[in-house]
Amino acid sequence: MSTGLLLQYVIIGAVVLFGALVTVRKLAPQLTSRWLASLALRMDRPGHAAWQRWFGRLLQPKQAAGNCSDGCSTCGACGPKPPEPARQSYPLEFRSRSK
Amino acid sequence: MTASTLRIALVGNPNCGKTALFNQLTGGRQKVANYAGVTVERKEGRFTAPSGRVLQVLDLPGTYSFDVTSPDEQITRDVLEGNYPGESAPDLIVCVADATNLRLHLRFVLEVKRLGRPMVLALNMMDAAARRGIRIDVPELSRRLGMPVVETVAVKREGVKALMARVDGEMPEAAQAQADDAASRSGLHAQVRELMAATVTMPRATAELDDALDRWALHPVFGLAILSLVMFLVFQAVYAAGKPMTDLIGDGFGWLGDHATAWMPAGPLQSLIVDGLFGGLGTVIGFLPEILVLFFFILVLEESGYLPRAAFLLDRWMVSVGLTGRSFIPLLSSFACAIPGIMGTRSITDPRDRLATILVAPLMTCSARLPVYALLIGAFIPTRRVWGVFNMQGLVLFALYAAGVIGAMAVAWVMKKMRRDRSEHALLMELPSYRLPKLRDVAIGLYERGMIFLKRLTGIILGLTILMWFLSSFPAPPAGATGPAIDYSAAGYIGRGLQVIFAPLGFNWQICVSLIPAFAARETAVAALATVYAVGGEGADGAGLAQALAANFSLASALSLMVWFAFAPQCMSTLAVIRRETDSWRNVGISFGYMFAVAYVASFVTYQITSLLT
Repeated sequence: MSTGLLLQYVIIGAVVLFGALVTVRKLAPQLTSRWLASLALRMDRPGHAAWQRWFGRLLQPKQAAGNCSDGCSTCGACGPKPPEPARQSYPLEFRSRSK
Repeated sequence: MTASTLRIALVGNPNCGKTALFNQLTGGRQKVANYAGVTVERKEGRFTAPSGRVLQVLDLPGTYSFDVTSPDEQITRDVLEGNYPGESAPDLIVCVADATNLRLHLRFVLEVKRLGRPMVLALNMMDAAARRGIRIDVPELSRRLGMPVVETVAVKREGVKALMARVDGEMPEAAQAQADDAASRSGLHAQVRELMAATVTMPRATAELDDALDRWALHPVFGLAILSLVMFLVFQAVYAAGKPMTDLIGDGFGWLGDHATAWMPAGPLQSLIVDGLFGGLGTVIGFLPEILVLFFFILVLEESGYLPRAAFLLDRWMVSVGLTGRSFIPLLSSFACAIPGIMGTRSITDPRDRLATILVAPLMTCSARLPVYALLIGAFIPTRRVWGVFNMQGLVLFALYAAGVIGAMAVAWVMKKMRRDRSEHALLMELPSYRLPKLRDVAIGLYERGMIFLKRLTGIILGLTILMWFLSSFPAPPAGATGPAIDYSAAGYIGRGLQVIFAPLGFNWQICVSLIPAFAARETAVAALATVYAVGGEGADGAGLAQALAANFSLASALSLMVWFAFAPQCMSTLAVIRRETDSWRNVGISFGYMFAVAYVASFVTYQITSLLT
């Protein structure tokens, strides 16, 4: 295998890895956040090299914006579940005479 | 949060301009529209006031009363009463009221006042009130209410200066808290009448222009005719205005691909760039103009105030199939994306109606399906005129959107027949004043939609396209292989495996393999098809892909695929939102299962009948 072809495969490997990470991050945001947080915690520890700690802080996932109303895949994660109303009440309810 | 951060909550009746004020104060770009129920979540922003103090602003869903009936109203009450998880009560409440409709809005102002917290009343839409000859004695209103009252025009940059100065100034004194019970609430209407009599002069209860337009727009016959015409023209315009620009972008990416091929040495990296990126992503980005044209009309309709009228017109039909007029706006939002549509159902008070709307919302044709339709229509439907006026391709596009709507109505009707409780709930909905859409707001809305599309393109669609190229290119064919290289790739094996299920629908293995990434993002089906055919040596740009499809598909297969996309299970994000909003995996299963069954049967029938006729 020529050096040029080898270099092409290295670049392709990196691009495919990037594609896979982007896809997993978008499709499973909560799982990815947990993974990233765990990895960041391991790297950003006292006693580790400065670059490791910096990389750990870089990996620390951002908090979810909690706003999905702009459309699909815009926020990267979902906000809190909506609360249920304390009670169901209907101010007016019309029924036809036959019922 | 610093010690000097002041927390302000914007509250008020629906559609009084809270989010527009929020955007003006914080520089945010939250969605605004001229109908009730746009904001269904708590939103937060910050800004630094002229004094240097940092102010945190909460934009809360609109509510008519603390006697909440829907999940979005519950959020507002919880935040104001300090019961929202992880959040204390706001320091200052800015109650926003529509100055043209104070008879309705002042009741909620009085209700909020009973909380006994520092409060400011913002009389919004003062420009509209002045145009209608409404005069408000602001100092007297302030004196009687016992709180500062400021005039605002939320849609103008200068219109919030007074409010900004007020919230940045001295904290107003809080009124004494009062018990909130049925007996005390019964007196609120009488207090509002007194306030109105003493401080407000209104020449007419409603705007003259609104009444004149509503005589036509709400007419049981002419109103429906106008609504049908509006929707029909929108889809005609999508094709007529968007197609030339789509073709231009397709040609541009074709040119780029040709140059990249000439410049780079042949090899896998050239294939990734030309077949994967230019071929796959380039084809999808070409459909941006058509998506923007569709959104232009949706934004104009949202701003104009026409949509609640359409909801009113369709209420009788909606109720007859088991939905409600309130379902109309969430369903219309689903034409952009099912996720905000499903979230918008929080404004539906009846849980049964809400669930029915959530389950049928994914059948509305979201904008992610537009590239698939546009590609197949461009490849298979001739560009001839019908009756000398209409574009044949536009008619087919309209028919596909109509198929989604009719499918949703049919499913809702079946659900109605299956449930025991068949009672009907009356539609109570506020009709806003008509408004001329502001060019700036429409332009910002279009920019936001364009950026959302580009973000998807450079995120999930890019990731999936790279993976699809990888699966289509590797492993390399074995020594002595005689067929095309792609037949031996992972994509080839996966596609042929799936073909066992989808062959009765007329899908070849390339279509089958494109259905997998489409489950993550619909547009990716186009990118996947473009990549698979480009790697296989056919068509790298939009025009080339259309030719490759025309050469490899029959008309029956193309129509079957369009019908599949009209009904097929939505993307994973939509299923995740259904799970979150209904708190039930069962509803996710029902949604996925029924849509798969409907799509399979409808595509099968379409393919078999078209095959017999052609």
